[in-house]
Amino acid sequence: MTQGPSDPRRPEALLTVFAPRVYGLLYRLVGRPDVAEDLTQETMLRAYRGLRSYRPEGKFRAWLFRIAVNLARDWIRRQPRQASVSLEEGADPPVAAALGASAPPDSGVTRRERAARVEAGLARLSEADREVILLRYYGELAFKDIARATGEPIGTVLARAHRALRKLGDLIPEDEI
Amino acid sequence: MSCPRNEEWVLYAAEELPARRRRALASHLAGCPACRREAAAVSRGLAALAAIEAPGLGAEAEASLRRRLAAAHRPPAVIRFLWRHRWSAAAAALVLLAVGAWMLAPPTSPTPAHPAPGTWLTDVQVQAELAEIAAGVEILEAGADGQVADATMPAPETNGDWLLDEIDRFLEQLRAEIEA
Repeated sequence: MTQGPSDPRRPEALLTVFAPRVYGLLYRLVGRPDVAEDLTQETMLRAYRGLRSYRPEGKFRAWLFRIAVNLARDWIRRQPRQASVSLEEGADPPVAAALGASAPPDSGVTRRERAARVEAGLARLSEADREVILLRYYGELAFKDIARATGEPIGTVLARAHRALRKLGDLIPEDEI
Repeated sequence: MSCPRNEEWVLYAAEELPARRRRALASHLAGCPACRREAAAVSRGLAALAAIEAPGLGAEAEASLRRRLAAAHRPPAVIRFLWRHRWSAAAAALVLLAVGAWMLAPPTSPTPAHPAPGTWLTDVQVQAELAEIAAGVEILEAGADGQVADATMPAPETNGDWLLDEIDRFLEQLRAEIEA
């Protein structure tokens, strides 16, 4: 395998380019920074050790994020059901306020408020729907690559994406876009 | 054109449709308010993702990851040891190869005791040959007389004298013929 200076599979590239994205995805999936850090390290190490067996059939990112998604799924599966991560229950006051249905669409809404609203909306999604959306955002993956990363048919991925995007879209008033 | 499935508006908003299909859907949108609402809602959902603030990986976590990746990048301890002692290892390998080659080589054939056919024997060689023949004959004669021949016992000197005399005479004749 050739590894030029800009090869995304070099350890430095794994660190500088992909680690923040993988961490972001894992943090949103598991909801705990300490766990997300551990899983990020595990993802990167597995990816690095697995480079020999990696075949560039699809996007490298799809392969990398698949490792991360599988680790997150395993971790979530091991958690007691009542400890399931949800920002709905333990949301910070600003997030809780942003979740209020009565919050009027404010044309002067700050970026932070909108972010809080969207993040609260993400937390409301089912795990599977959230996974698809986060792979789109953090992995910048096309939906066919998301299907590869999650191991699901493209039709299922698109159905999840549609459901999730409609919910998120409803959080953003038309005049804010 | 009938309304496409809702999932297709995801691909439309994400600009992942082939150009021809994308044109067809754009044309449909112009005359279908329901699909326009659907496509707009999906587009807003995608736009909403831009508002997500990406949490950063902590400096400590990144340093730890850097160390672990560096450790994973190192070759195994055995390889590192061999590389550190590569010259000693090379010398040891050469010695082993030499010993192995010596042990596996076929044994060298001994120098033939007898000259090749067609060459003349020296007098000493002839005497030695004759002594061997005499010893053989002696053993045969002893066997013929019903005695058990013992190869380890020296033969009595007198038993072969007559034969040696005969051979001496033959050799004298031979030399005479050669000189003549």
